[in-house]
Amino acid sequence: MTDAECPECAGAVKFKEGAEQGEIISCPDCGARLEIASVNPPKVQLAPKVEEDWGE
Amino acid sequence: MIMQLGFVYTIITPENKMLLEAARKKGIEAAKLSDAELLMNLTERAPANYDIVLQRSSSLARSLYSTAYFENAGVRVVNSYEVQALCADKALTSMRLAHEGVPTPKTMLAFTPESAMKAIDALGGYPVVMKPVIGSWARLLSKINDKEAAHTVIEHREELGSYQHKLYYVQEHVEKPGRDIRAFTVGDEVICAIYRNAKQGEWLTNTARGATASNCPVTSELREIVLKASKAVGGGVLGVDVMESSRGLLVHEVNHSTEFRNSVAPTGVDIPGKMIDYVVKMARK
Repeated sequence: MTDAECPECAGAVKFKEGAEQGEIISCPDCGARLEIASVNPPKVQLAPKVEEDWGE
Repeated sequence: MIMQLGFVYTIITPENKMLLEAARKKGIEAAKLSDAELLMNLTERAPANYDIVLQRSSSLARSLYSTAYFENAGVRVVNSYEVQALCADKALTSMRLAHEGVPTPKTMLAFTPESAMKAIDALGGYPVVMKPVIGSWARLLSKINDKEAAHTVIEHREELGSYQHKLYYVQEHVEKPGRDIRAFTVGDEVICAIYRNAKQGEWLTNTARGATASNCPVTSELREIVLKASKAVGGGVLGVDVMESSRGLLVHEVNHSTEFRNSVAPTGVDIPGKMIDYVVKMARK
């Protein structure tokens, strides 16, 4: 499987086994907070910003 | 027949991933419903495509509206709109707990800076804790030690913009032994509990503020108060927060979309598995 490309720094982002669409990961190069948009083909997008009403 | 489980989420948090995996282990492939992509036609009855929906949105507003939408279509949602609305609002939670006889810290609500100061006096003075009525992860929680600090916090809150910050929810500060308890309930069962041990020098016991989790034995006293709190808010899959005070256990919060990423290891309990079992049971009811 090819790597996803970070939209922030264009670095290669590898997914761990069991990666889930919607999961939040960090770019290993620039540290950007990314959301897995698609597992296959591997695609990431910038993660949504944490809003004031987020929580448990 | 394979169960149709709808799973509403904002992002796949570690908890959500564990829940999806637990469902898969039980042969259920949940339909993942990203709340960002939901299109809800409010004037037409929604098709009841799911046997049950597990609500795990990170956003309270999205959680409430999407739950109302599915419930309106005749689909059961865990947790229900009513339970979420109660648990999400600390003022409503406090009132309900007290009304149902669940021991809870003394708390007052006031709408203006002047009445907020009077509320502090009515609680018996400092220190007090001021919290937003809606909010999580200890966001904007203030321990107020004296009158000057109270004026400062209130002045800042008046400038914050949202009307919710002008709802002054003031609570007695309860001396606790550097920790509190988070107990996990699934229906009428307390499946496990953790101590949330505050980071040194930190008064807050939220894991989002560096607190660490360790196993807390579920004593009969803890079980009783936790189940009473769960029943008071309508029951379901809940995280009940309890303080050990000099006058016994006090429930200060009930979480309707509880986190548990750090609680499976210390308790040894399959929290996501038990939550999915409950959802399956409720779907068949």
